[in-house]
Amino acid sequence: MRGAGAIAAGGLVLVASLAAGLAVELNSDRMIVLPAGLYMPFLRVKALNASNADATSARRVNAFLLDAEPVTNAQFLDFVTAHPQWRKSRIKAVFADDRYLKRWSSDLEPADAAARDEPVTNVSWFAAEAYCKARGLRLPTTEQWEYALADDGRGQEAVRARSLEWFAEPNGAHPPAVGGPANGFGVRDMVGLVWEWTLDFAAYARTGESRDSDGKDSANFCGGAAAGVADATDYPAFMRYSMRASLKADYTADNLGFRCAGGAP
Amino acid sequence: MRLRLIFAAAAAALVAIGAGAARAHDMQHMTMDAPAPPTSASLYNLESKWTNQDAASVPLAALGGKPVVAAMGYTSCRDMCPAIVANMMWIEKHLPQDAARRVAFAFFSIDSAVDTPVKLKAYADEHGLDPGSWTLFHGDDDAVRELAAALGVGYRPDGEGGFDHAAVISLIDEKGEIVVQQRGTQASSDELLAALNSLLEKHN
Repeated sequence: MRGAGAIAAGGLVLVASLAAGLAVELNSDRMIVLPAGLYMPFLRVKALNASNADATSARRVNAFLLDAEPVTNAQFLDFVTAHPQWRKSRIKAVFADDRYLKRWSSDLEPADAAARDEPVTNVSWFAAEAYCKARGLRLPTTEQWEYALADDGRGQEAVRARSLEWFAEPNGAHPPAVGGPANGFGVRDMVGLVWEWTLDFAAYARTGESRDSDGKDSANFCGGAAAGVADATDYPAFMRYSMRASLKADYTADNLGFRCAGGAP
Repeated sequence: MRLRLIFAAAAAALVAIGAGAARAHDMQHMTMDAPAPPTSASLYNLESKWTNQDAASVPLAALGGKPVVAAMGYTSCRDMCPAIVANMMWIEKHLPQDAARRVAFAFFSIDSAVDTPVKLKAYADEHGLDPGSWTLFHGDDDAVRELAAALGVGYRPDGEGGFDHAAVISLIDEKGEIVVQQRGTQASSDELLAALNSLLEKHN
């Protein structure tokens, strides 16, 4: 990805080999290489003709790059400076609702100086995806995002506890600045600052009006049927999947931000 | 987008050549024909590129100027997708006699790897879809993702070579704005058909 010189110049915090499956922090643009691995998806979905065994087995995730932190107002300012069509005065209604960049005082001014290092919020899926594309990246898939949070099984009780604490906190005027503690992969602020867009946020939604009484709602979705969840006590996971299922691509909200990913999904 | 720019440049060049070369009313005619920029809420702001069942490259905005009945799916889907196309055909059949050709029926494939224009053409023929009003579109992954987001169609590879995806039929007006959506294959198409008829009456 980068020459050895560039890595050295970047002041690397952690150097490790990908082959060994360890995280490498590329300090220059604060992206983490997440190693390939297995994880157990929370929401199990099986294809109509698949056996139950397929639906319950662990899924393999390929290695990918992920922003260490959510994208900040300062970073998003650079983007809208270079791409005027994404400024709040110019955004097309098809790409974002009328709360787009609501906290910004003008096209090129995030709320205040303190907001620079806070996650950018009130951005639609289209705007988030356009930002990532401008960096040669894209949004992480839901699976990649969940894999990063799952952290190879490390500290999951703390993740749940922090999630519940966060859900109970009232939304402040601003989310706190990025830079929380890193998980085992080296990823920060997955929980506690903002909800985050994923590339395929709608993929697990069941958005029909009519559901079968057994919850399979097969009339609304071609193909797969829900085959239960991995852990019915994982309330924060229910919250994450429900939140994503409630979104529309033009939707923006005070507590909804994003980070970018790279590499093949 | 690019075509429009070229057209604008050509028009500007003609203007520069001056009234001596082109009569005034020709110029006016040209101005009237120039496509208006899409409205703020128009789907035709999307820059995704598509190919139709005749392998011709078609921008989304080419659908503009007519009401469009649009859906996403993939041709090898045997479970629920045929019902989506059947619903669209039902809508087509229930239009006033002279109206069928004044409506565009658009089917966008989610399966960019398998649904080649040749496949789409065969599918259209097999289902007896009128090439005068039906277009079946092939796009790359980015195009599919962007349009699916705009139309609110969730989808995901099902791990068996197919996709799970929402069954959504959208009515899009001549400006490219979504008027109404029908979700679920068991839903009635009455509301969408009524909205389509009132669009057609408005522009009669």
